[in-house]
Amino acid sequence: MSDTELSRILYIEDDSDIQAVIGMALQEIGGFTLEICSSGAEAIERSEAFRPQLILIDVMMPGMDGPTTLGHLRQMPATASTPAIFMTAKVQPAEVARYREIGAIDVIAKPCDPMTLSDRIRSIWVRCRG
Amino acid sequence: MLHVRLRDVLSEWGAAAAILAVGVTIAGLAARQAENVEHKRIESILDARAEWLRVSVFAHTDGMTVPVEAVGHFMSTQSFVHLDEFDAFAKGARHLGSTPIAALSWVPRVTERDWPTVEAMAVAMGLRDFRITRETRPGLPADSEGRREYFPVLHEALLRNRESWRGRDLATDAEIWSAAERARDLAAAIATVPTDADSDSFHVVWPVYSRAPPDTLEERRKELRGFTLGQFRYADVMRWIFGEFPSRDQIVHIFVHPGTGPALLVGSVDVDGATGALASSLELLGAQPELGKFIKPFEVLGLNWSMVVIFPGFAINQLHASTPLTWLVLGIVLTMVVAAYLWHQRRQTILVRAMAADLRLTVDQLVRTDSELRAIIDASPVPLLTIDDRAQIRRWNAAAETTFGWAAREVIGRHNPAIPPDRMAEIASISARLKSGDIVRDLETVRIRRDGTPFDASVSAGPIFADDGAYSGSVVMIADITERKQVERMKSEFVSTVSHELRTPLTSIAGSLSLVLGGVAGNLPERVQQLLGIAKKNCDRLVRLINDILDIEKIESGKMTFDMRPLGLVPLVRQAIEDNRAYAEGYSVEFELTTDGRELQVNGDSDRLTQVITNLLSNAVKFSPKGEQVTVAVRTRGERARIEVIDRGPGIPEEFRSRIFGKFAQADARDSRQKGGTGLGLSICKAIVEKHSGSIGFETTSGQGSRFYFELPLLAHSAVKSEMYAAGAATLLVCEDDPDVAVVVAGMLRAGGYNVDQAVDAETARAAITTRPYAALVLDLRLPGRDGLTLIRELRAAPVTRSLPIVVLSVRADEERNRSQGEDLGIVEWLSKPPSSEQLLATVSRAISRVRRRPRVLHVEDDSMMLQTAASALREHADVTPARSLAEARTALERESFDLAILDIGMPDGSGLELIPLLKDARGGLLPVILFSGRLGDAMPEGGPNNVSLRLSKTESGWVRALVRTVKGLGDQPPAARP
Repeated sequence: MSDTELSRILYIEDDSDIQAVIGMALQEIGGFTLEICSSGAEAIERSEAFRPQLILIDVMMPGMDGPTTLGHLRQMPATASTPAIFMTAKVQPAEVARYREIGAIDVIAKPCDPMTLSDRIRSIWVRCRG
Repeated sequence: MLHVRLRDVLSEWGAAAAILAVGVTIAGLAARQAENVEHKRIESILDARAEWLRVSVFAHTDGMTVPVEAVGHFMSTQSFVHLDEFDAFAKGARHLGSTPIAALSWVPRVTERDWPTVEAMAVAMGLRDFRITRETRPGLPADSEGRREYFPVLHEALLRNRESWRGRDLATDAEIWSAAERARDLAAAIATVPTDADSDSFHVVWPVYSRAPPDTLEERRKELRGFTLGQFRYADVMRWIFGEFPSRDQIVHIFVHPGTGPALLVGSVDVDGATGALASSLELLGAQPELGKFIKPFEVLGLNWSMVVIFPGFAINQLHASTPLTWLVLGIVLTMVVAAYLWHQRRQTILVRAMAADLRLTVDQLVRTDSELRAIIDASPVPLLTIDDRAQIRRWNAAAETTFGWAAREVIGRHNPAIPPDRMAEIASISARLKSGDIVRDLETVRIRRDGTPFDASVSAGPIFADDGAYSGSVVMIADITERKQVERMKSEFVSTVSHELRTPLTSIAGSLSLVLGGVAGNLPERVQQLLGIAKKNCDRLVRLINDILDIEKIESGKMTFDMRPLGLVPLVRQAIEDNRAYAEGYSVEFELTTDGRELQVNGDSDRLTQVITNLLSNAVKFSPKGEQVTVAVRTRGERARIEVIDRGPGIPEEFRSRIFGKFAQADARDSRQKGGTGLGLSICKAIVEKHSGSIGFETTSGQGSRFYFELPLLAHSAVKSEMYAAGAATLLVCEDDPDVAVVVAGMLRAGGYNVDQAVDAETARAAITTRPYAALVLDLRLPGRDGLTLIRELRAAPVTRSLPIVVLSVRADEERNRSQGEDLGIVEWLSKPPSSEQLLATVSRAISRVRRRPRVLHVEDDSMMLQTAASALREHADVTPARSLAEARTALERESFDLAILDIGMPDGSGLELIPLLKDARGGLLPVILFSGRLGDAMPEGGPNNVSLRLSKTESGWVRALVRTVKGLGDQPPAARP
């Protein structure tokens, strides 16, 4: 597992349809290895084992929301410093700034074009590491 | 105007008058009393004098009779006295007491029987004609047998203007006989009482007995031998008593009281001397008692006399002490002083009372006004309070009581208790703004109620200044905006939620369609592709619609934030064109960009402006016929940048033109569906452009096309700097392409008190420099286009900007500096990026101060060509004042100060060297001097004064260069080193 290229993405999204679409886009087009979780709790359970290189989280989730989930993940060694990207339909500027404050490197607005999503994520990741 | 009441004024005068009257009365009474006392004193003195006079008169008169008595005694011892004897004795006796006796006579008692004998004796003595007058009538003296007794004057002596009375029977003289009888009976000297008013003398009768004065009356009558008679003139007596000298100190009148009848004045003494005159001057005697008049009675020679002494006025005055007058004057003066003081006091009281009345009126007015104000304030439904200059509450209206929960009396005098502790910094900031005269409008914050619950509040406040301009407090309105905020939050949340809820399914729809159409799920039959394409297109439209609705909502609620930075329009437009090229190609439309070649800088949010440009571009593309061009023009129009998007489509229909920037305004539904617009685009564009202080518009011709444009203020002229230019502050130009660095540097410089213009590249900077004078240029070397160093060289090449102070910001400042060493780059300071605020400000200040002013040079030279040559050579570096003679030079030196003097030694009115002592700077030191001479060596002082910078010869080639170099070198020194 080379760490210089992005391959493992932890994807947390509660909406199954969006899961399907984005999941397909990232896997089929981007070729990433995805661990898809439907809730923050699941993500916490499975992140340790998966050891993601990038975390893609939906902000609005029932139960534990995106930011809270990220906060928990940050407490765990495997994901303490993993770059994270939020996905959200609510993109108010104040919120974007807040997401950055709590540790996201970028925010992707929904709806997004699944065809170009993988490239976007990859370039974000590269930029972050560079 | 004071309301001084008439009553008060009258009472004031009345009081003064009363006091004066009382005082004067008392003074008068005191004076009168003193006067009385004085009178008594004077009277007693004068009385004593009068008494003394009386005693003197008495003594004198008593002694008057001495010679009469003496002769009487003599005659009583002699039985017979010859005439001559009598005469001699009488003369001798006269000198006894030196009395003013006029005549002295011996009058024997002669009986009827003795009568012939006495006559014969007299004849025998020589008195041949001596005959005793005879008279008989009742009352004449007779002996016990009834026979007549005679009293003839036998001897006479000391006659003084009087006929002789020899022989005359004095018994026949009633006056004398009356006195004689009394004298005989009383055995005493008795004076006669004058009965005749014309008589000027009186007699004193002395009884002579045959032996020592008998004791009984019978014996006296029997033993009588005769009388001695002395005659005295009143005048002589008066003179004798009171002296020959006139009396100045008093007037004396002597009166005699006859037994019957009024008193007779016998003599007076006054300033004319003593007079003896018989007169009836009753008035003198019987007059009212007056000061200085004394009546002294005395008894002498058997008669009652009165002496009236009148002391004249001046004698009295001499005695008169000034005490009563003094008392009076003192009293009056004192009274007046007291009266004046009391009057003054009264007046003050009246004034004070009037002022108090005025004050009461004013206070009443104030209270009324205050009540009105209070009513207004209390009626306000918004919590309203006023604070004083120490932020303590003065007023707290009813609405405040209700909203916050504190009653007015609980908070007045205290600081506002509704401020949460974590908002103190905000309070400090508000306070500072108010004190500087700013009004705070609708500041959204949090306040707490009495029970501690916080609530959203909107604070508006305005300062109050006193007449003298001092801050005296503020009026504050605190509105509870919980509801409003709640509504806002709800709306925001609603919109946010709605948009989220709408977007979420759309994500799936659009995403799936995208993937399918992208071939991820395998190849698609054409029809399927077509249908899915339609679905995707409309899905995208929905997404755009939702975005636009959100934007509109943000704009209308004021929630859209702009990230304003300086940016170049042309690159922005280019990028937008690039981004939309693919879209345009889908419509077979091409873009064409035209610019006027200038860099146009504006202040704006690049994303939002891109949104506007994109919207216009997409509209133009949508409505362009296939194969046509959409022209995009970027140019300046006055002080604004103008971006135009021109299409050759059908144009905008007439009925639509007025609504084009409205919401959901599209020509018709069919069109919009086909074109894929949302109907909100232009209204969003309008809002964005207007938020950039710009304007948007269009021109259209039906059938030919439309030209949509928007204009934005150019950066150099825009007042988008929210801080206005500080008057008097120097303006700097910051040329920096990295917006983040630019913002920081600009901020530091502004905080340091400079005005800052910004340029993003060298061209803009160059253009800006030509339009206005900057105090300094802060420059990044690494710039897009022309790099910083080139710019510096260009600037130095132009005379106007040769001495523009430049501060270079560079990541590797030292390297750059070293590389450019040896080049004359003028005043350049090098600073490493990123600079601290202190470093930056210090460097800028240093750069500026190096070129504070051009040196002032006095050129003393009589050769015009020399002057001209030097002047043109030095024009760029210094201000030259010519002086064609020493006199001119002296005048110039008096008028202004110089930094340097160029002296020609050979001048028409002397040697230039003479001026050297006059060439002083502000501190008294000597100025640097350049000596010029046509003849170097002679007349040039060897060793010279030590302020001579240069000696030049006019014949030396290159003197111009040397001159310029010296002057320039002077100019380049910091002012501190320059004298």
